[in-house]
Amino acid sequence: MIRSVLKKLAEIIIILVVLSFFVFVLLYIAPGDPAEKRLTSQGIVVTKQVLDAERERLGLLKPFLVRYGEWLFSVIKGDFGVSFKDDMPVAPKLYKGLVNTCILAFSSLMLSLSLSFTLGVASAVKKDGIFDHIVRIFSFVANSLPNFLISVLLMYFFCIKLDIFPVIAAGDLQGLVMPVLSLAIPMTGRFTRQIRAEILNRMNEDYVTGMKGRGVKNRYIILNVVRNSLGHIFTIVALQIGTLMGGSVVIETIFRWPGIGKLVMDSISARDYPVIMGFVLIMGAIYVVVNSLSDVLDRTLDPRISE
Amino acid sequence: MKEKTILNVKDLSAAYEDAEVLSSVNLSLKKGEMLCIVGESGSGKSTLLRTVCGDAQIKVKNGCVIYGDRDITKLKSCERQKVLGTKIGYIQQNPWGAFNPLRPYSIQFRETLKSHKKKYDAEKIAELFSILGLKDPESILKSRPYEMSGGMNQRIAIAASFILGPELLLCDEITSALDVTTASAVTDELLKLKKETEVTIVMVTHNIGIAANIADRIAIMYKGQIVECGERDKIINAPEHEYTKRLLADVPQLEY
Repeated sequence: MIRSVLKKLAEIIIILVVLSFFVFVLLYIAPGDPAEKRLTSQGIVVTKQVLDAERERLGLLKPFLVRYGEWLFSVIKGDFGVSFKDDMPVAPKLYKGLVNTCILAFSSLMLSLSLSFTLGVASAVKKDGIFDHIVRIFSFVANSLPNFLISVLLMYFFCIKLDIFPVIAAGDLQGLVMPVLSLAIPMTGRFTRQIRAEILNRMNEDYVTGMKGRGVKNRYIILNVVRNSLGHIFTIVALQIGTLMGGSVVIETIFRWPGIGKLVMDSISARDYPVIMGFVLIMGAIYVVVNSLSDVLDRTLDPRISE
Repeated sequence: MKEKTILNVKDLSAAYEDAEVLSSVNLSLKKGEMLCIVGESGSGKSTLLRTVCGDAQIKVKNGCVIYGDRDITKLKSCERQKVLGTKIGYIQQNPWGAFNPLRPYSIQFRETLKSHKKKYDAEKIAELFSILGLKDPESILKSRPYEMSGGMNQRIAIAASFILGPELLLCDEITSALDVTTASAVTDELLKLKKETEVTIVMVTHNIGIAANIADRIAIMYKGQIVECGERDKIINAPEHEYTKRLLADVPQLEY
């Protein structure tokens, strides 16, 4: 047990180092100069001298590997550095954004999971009935619509035409509704289809015939099938979390939700490398940890899956 | 033995989608007898049992199956749920097919009994287990099917069928996935239980050797039809149909 946990931890660390190196390379070769961006945004006339001084101050003149090494060591010490944009420490910025993004992601995940679980199981049980057809059409449409389109449509109807919700989500509860729906609708479509397919697939297992042969009531059969599907459903959800965080970048920008996605969009246009690197590291860690947890959960629910 | 008919299959034709599997099958079962249906793979013997159980994939084209005074192929699913288990039991070939592999037997026994509004009776289960040669019922009930061998699972499946006290038990090649010694042990135990409960058993098998050992009557199925049906001794000693003769000629003999 302890050995496998340690193995998993080592795996996570290696993945994160490789990931951060890769992103560091990409940022290095990407066009745009953080020093120039900063000076222009401060309204300073950019001359070669000023620019060089600023580059020197931000440490941009050091060789690539030295820069990466310094960044890596300070991160290991728990220091994410300071923002190129405003000299504020990166960690609190990321933390505040992350909290807001988690609120958004978690709310939409819960909403879409509870909806799609009910719809998916019910439509699988009543396969080919009217309800199943309606659910299939809904899930197909919802899954096909990209979330930025849904968010614009929702914004048009609920924020502008009906004026029920604010256009700019200020980080409060009322502002949360529209971004949550924009994320949850396509996700619900996807989950519903996947859960329905999974339940239908499991309904064909031999033991279902066996239970029917003993006249076991339908609700017990469904209970058994759902219980056996949980591991797979958790895996689907875990894989979706990465997409959810990525998708929230767009939604946060559209609704101006003060999450980590909006923070990183602003940082990309300002070429604020320390913030971008911190974001990549945190997202990578979340993705890897959630997937590892879902593996563990899968194995606990179905011990036949070997290590 | 009373000569009361318990199940009557009349002129039954059935199909999976368009492929007809059973054509004009006639069969009647007397209470308390052991009927073996023998035939090769694809001859329709399992389909016959599944039709009686009301498998949704099988479409009945013609004929009926009379149980009691009703055609059970026309039952609604909630009516069928009440009949299956308590009146007609069904055990399938796959030893892991009776139970959800991931949940303890005790919970699954409870669910089975609750479905028929019966009480969980640990003593009765222990009694059945001991007839079936299963020792330490408590620890077995706590364990989960995937941890058990095929033979054990098939015995527990038999116990789960008998706990409901069915009048008629349909066994679909229940020993063909087991090794020879386990298979004969399971068959012997089943016969022991049959003696105690006087249940009527239909046993589907492709092995005429098993049928010759345990059956009262044997029905031979070939290409979706029952080509020959009669007392065991008559079928074994004086077969009439060509296919039956071939089956008997193909029984392997031990040679030194």
